Amino acid sequence: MADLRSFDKMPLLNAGAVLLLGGEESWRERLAQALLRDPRSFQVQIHMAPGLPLPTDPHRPRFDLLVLFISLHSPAGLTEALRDLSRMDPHFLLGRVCFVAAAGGARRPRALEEEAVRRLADTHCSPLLFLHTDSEEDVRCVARRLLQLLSVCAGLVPGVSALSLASFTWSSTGN
Amino acid sequence: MDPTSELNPSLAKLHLQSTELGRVAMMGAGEQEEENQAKADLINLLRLREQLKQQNLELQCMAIAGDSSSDVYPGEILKEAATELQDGIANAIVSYNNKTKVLQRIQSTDALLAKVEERSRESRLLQDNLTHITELSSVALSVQWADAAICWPNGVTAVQVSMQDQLGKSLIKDTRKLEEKLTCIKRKRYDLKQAACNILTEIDDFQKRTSDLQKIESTNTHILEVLKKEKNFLTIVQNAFQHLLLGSRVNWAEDPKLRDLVLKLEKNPIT
Repeated sequence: MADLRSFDKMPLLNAGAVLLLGGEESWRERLAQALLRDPRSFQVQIHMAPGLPLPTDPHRPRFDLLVLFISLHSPAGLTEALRDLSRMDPHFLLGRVCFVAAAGGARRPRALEEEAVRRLADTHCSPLLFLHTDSEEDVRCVARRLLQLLSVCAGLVPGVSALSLASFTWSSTGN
Repeated sequence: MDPTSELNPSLAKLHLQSTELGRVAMMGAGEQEEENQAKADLINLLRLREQLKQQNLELQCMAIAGDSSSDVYPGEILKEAATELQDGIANAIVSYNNKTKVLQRIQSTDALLAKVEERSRESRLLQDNLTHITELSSVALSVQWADAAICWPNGVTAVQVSMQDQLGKSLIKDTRKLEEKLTCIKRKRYDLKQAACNILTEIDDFQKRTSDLQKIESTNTHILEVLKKEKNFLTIVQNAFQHLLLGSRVNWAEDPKLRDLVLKLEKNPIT
């Protein structure tokens, strides 16, 4: 079992690596396309996986940001997210994890409440974004916010670290 | 022939190669695309330098944190320390916000006063507005005094601001709690509805079953009546046959077939 660590490799030059975890495959691909389409000044490497642990691969870069999809349609979404959280390096929780509560298809029934997802994000001190995969605008907005977060997490913004950003944004949401 | 003119082309070539090497080293082993290499001008290099510094700083922080291994400290102490630090950060942020707000207020009032003292048409408008605002705020203060019996010292804006902040935070907390209660009640109502639906379907099934049973019972009574009638008919026929045999005065005990017949007539086949 390859444990995911946050600081075992050297950072990439002018590039950030993001890992999209969980959710449905089509959602991950849509978000990845939106991430690549958005204009930016650095390079983005996107990896996708249905969940942790990942298979061993020596050429994998250091991940700067983990995006955890939580499907609002499946009742097991929360437990899957918790399982993934337990399998990653706790250093990631210092501002390098972002939850994305995703829903797609208007007629599919909701199995999870937003309140539960919000509580999960609150307890892990991580930002939470809501994503409706059917709307193009929504996907673009989420991709832009993730890119901003990624640029901070990859150390591309001088003077701001992931932890400081996380503590600022977390305390402002009221707790 | 001058030896320097011979050396110059080779020197220029060497210079070009060295700059190329430097660029490759900066851009990461030449894996990047061609257009990115073309963009590597001075500003870009400076930006990359800043980024490298930041990344270096983060890695150094991690190295220092790794040296003082966290296994020595038990988790609970760390948790307590973390909560204390978080409280400190929150307090610092709140006080910072309050101070900036107070500063901004002071600055804006200063600017306003300066404007008012100019005695132009604008200043009159401003003065009217100011008097209106003071009237409104005095009314609001009097209402608040009457409501909560809280006496705020006049002119202490920082206290007001912090109290408003706290009020807002507590309001947010209250609304969150109320929302949670609301969702709880909604869920209960939904469960009750489902239970009611289940009970109604059960009642429906039960009614269907009872109607079926009634039908079966009615058919049963009909069958019983028919059976009774047939039994009576049969007994009459048996008796008639018996009397016929007796009246004919045949010695039925001698013939085995006749004997069996008479003995069979003694018992009713249906009962």
